[in-house]
Amino acid sequence: MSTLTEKIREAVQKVLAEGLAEVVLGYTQGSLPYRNRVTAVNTPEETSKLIWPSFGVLNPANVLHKLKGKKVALISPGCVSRAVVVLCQEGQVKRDEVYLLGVPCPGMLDPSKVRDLGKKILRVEDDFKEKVLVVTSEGEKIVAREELLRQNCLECRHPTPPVYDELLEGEARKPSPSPYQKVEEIEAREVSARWQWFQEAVVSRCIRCYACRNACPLCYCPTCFVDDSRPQWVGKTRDPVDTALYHLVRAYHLAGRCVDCGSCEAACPMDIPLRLLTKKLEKEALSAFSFESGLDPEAPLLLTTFREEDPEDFMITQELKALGKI
Amino acid sequence: MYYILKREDLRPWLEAINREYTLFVPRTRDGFGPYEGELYLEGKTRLSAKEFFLPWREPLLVYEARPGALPKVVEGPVEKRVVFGVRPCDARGVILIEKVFSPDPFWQKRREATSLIGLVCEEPGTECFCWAMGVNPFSGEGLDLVLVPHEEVYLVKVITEAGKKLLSLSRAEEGGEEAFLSREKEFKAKFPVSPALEKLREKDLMTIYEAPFWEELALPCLNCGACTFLCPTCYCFDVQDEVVGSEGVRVRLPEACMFELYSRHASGHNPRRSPMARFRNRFMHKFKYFLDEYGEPLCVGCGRCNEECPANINLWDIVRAMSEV
Repeated sequence: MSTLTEKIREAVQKVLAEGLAEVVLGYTQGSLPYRNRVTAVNTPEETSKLIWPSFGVLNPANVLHKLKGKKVALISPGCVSRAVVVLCQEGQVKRDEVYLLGVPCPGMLDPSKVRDLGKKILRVEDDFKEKVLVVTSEGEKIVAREELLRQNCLECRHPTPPVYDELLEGEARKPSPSPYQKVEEIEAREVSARWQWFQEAVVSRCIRCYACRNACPLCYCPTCFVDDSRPQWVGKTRDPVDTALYHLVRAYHLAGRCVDCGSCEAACPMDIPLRLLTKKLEKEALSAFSFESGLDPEAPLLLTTFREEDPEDFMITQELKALGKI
Repeated sequence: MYYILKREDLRPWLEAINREYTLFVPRTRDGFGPYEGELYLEGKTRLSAKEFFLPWREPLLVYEARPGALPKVVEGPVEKRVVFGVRPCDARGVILIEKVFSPDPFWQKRREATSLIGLVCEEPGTECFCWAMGVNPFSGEGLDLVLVPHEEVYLVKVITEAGKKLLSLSRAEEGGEEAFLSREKEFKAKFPVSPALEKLREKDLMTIYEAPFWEELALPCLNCGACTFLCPTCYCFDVQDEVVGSEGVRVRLPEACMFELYSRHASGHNPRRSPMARFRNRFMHKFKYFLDEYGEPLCVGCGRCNEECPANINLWDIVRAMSEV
């Protein structure tokens, strides 16, 4: 058993016994050796089902809306902590209603990379440091962890949670030195080639199941724009124009908010590289405003903030002052 | 009638079919497409063969968007087409959907225009359980021909006259009955029907409906449409009016019972408002309502839901809970 799993169970027992939370969200073993499932634990006896996962690809902060009114603790690697921070900043969750049990994250494995290692995957043993043993129907393979990590974990800048109530001991991955390499590969192409990539890799493959939206911890609009019927902003079939509109608006709505937990991409049943869209906007927020989301619950939000000295020509405060009007 | 087709004769056969008909094949793991050489035979496709009968956009009516204008019914697709490589689970899905859709003229036209050539799997996929849902892949149900990969050949069973005509375009030779039947017998002995189905038939509907397990099992569910859209038996649909300028088209498209909008009434009231209620409805429909109505579960055991569910919801957790409550 991984020592992190032991530490988590011990910490969760304490959290429940001391009444720091009524329910704890974490991960349990899934139905396949390369899948884990989000689960809720309500009593100390149930903690034995919790594990530190290799394949914790969905962000459990996404389940918070189902537990409204309860104090919830979350097993929080960097991206879970950051998603909760954004939810706090946006007034969706009160900071004192959640308990963040921080975990320095060694990165999660990509289920599809492991699935593709053999016809049938029988067992996966992860040392959470360097190596993964994968037992397949054809034999055993030892693979370097780095080769099996999820792309967003390879590009993660905050494996250690920036905000927490308690931080478990452990060794996190080093923050990625080149988080935008994949984005830059697309950026380097001609406009028409980028449009073609968007059409082929994203639009033509999408079946409009909205798994990406529903998996996102920050997509919480009571009525999503695609579900509005008066007026109806966007058609509901897989028409490329409608599908493109959905993906563009979804991505833009996450500008300056997305914490790159990768849930959208992991949730997609068609393996669409959805993160590249949100990652591009993350890069824009960083380069234009030196802004990274989800680091401080007290900090102002990127897109709802302004300063009087902002250079845009619609900021007329300075002008009015010069005229003596304010 | 049984035939033997050498594996190396498969491609020339497909080419021959493609010269006379529009041929669709599994092109990649994603799904089917027109035959252009690409052929994916390693396992089932992500999108099932139901897409041929319940397409993502089925125009029903066209109309001029002005008061008093009368709509015109769309004629629907009539082009003859052949689909090769349909897995027996998917073919069975078509039969189950037909129990509901048989009076629908658009469904009928698509069925009449389409021949299906089935392909039995070399071995069950990771999440496959067709047998547990009572599917016999060797039966050829819903198909015109069924092929069984066997050593260096395909064993072929002819199901319909249309199938026989298609096979006449190949170099297949008569024979292989014994091998086919023994493979079928072997399969049936090894893979039994799930005892859960019998239990579900006997269970009282309200006992399952009101059972306490639903909240817990539904907790991780995202209420997205991945399972319903990939499922070869989910047939729920939406009807939309698409109006551009003065031209209107009324289209039918797949819809998912997992969506809040699916059950929301015009008044704003939603009888299945909670995510749990929608989750419960999907499984009640498949394993109780449909079972009670038609005598069979609305599931063919293809396992796509289990494989692709983002939240790793496993159908068996629910079926077990429902049958043992």
